[in-house]
Amino acid sequence: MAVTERRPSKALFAAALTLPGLAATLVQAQAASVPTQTSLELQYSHYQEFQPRAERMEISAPSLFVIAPVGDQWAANLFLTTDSMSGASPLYHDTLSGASGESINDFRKAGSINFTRYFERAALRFGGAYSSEDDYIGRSLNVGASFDSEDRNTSYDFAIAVNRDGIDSTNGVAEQETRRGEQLSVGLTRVLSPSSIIAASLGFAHGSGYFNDPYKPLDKRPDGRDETTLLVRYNKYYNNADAALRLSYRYYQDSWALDAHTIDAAWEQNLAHDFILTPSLRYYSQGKADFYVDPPFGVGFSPNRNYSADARLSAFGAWDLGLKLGLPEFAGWRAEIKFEFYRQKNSWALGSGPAELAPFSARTWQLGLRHSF
Amino acid sequence: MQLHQKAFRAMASQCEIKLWSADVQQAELVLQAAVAEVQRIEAKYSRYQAQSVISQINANAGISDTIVDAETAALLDFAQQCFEQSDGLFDITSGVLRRAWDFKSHRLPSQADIDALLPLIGWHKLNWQRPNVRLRLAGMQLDFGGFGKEYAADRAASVLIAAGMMHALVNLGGDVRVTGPQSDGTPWCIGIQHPRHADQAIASIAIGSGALATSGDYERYMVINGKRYAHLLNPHTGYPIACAQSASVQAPLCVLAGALASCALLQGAGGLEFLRAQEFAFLWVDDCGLAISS
Repeated sequence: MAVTERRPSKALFAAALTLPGLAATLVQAQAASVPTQTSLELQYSHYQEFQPRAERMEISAPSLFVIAPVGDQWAANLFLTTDSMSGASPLYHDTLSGASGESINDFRKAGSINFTRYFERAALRFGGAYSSEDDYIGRSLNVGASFDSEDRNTSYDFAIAVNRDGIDSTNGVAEQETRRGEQLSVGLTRVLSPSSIIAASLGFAHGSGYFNDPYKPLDKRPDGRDETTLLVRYNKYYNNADAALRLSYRYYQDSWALDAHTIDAAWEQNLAHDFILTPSLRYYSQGKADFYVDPPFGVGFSPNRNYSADARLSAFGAWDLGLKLGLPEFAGWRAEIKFEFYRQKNSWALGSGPAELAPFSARTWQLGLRHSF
Repeated sequence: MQLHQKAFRAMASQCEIKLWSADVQQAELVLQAAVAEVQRIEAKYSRYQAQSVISQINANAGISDTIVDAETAALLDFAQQCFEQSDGLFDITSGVLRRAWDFKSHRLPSQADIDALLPLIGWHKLNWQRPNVRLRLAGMQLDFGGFGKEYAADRAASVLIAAGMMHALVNLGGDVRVTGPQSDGTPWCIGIQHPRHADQAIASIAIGSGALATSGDYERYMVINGKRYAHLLNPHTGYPIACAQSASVQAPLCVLAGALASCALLQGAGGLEFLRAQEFAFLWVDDCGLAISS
């Protein structure tokens, strides 16, 4: 009998899923499930940049995340973080080293709190966030809702948010400037099979106010920015390998004519003794904003026109390689260590690249500790 | 969060449901609803209850079609897959052999008894065209015993999930389905019965989701002149299959786990290779009592 050549389990699984009510018992995409435990996560990450002939910037960021059930139908989550930056802001152009190699020491603190109310097949949430640093204050409020279909194989999500920010640069260029924004997003998550799931979301954001970089000379940008983001994620679990594949694609486009593609892939491998190893790879490519100009300034520069030499608005591509190791639970705690290496180059952008700017690298270490009780 | 449990007898087995809930009253109501679901399936598909769907189909054997509802139709489709995927060994018409094999009598049937029954066996002798089903020959019998208990475990789990009980376990005579891990996130620890020592576990398996089902040669058997005759009968020959002692399979659904475990045992010595070719975790106890896991 040639049974070893076949996979009867596939046909049987498909038939079993047509039995009344059984497919719904496998659903993973539930909007409405109240957390039953309090979980606390501490994270520390350290980021360091490298660039030829430049001082490097370092960022250390400890953060705390708590999610806790409140009564039977509510959950609260709280997020707090601080960044401390030291060194020099990245040097994007050799030719502008004097202008942007300015040494900085900045400290940012940020926090958010969100509440979720769970219903039988729906969840409603609202919350706010605040962040503050020397020259910038960010405030935002958000409301969202998600709904499960009757078979719980599909869930829909809607969210709106508003932000009101204040900018006061330390060099006096920007004084009591403001920026405001409104965001809207819709999402759909669908269980494709007991081991695979797909999610897509579309987001729109409208911003107005002060967008210039006060620390960059002659930087002048439009006073509004409309952004559209499409995100598609696909996760599949492979029983044979005891591993999960996570893929995502993100498309971004804004009214500054800047567009970007991000492709992310991660392979989450369960190992013996409860270790989890996750290698990941990301590719990012963006086109330049329409008012971006490669330095040095060309002839014909006009002070009334939008203009920026900020390399973040130039066309570039970047690769990011990551490796994460999850350690087995110990005394109720789980730890995770992650290392990421990032490298960015103008010539890696999709399509033709502009003049080559100094390539730029960064590495990130991250240590996370999680406890549930 | 507290653990609530209910033990009961159904489908000729010892059964229990456990769930973690903060609300005592709600837990009790949900437990009752889940038990009622198991009893509903037992009543609907029992061979012993004259009003059951199975009894009606069997009573109409050789006479007329029986119109079945969507649930029964889905189970018949599942039975067809079991038949096809096991190369005809998992056949829900083979229960008629019970007339010859009485494992309580400790007496072997005569070849003539078996020969008389073999013509009444065969999925192909069943007309199944949704929603009409008919056993073509008088005397043929359908039996959902090969997956009824596993299906009931999944259905009980669906009742628990609909009530938001995501930390619950259903155990129907060793066929287990969970709706999620225990409330503290730790998996349920499930012992697999030793095939030769009913009160001992040969292994224990931690499951946080899905199901675990076991099929064994020890459920009904007799030993005559030192030879063991188990209830797993080959539908082609009418004789017990020389098989392993037990097969346990872990799969997302109990009805799937159970069907794979049964298919494996029915393959005889080839069962181990069969299990290795599937993508699910298993424990195989061979005819000598040697345990092999995936």
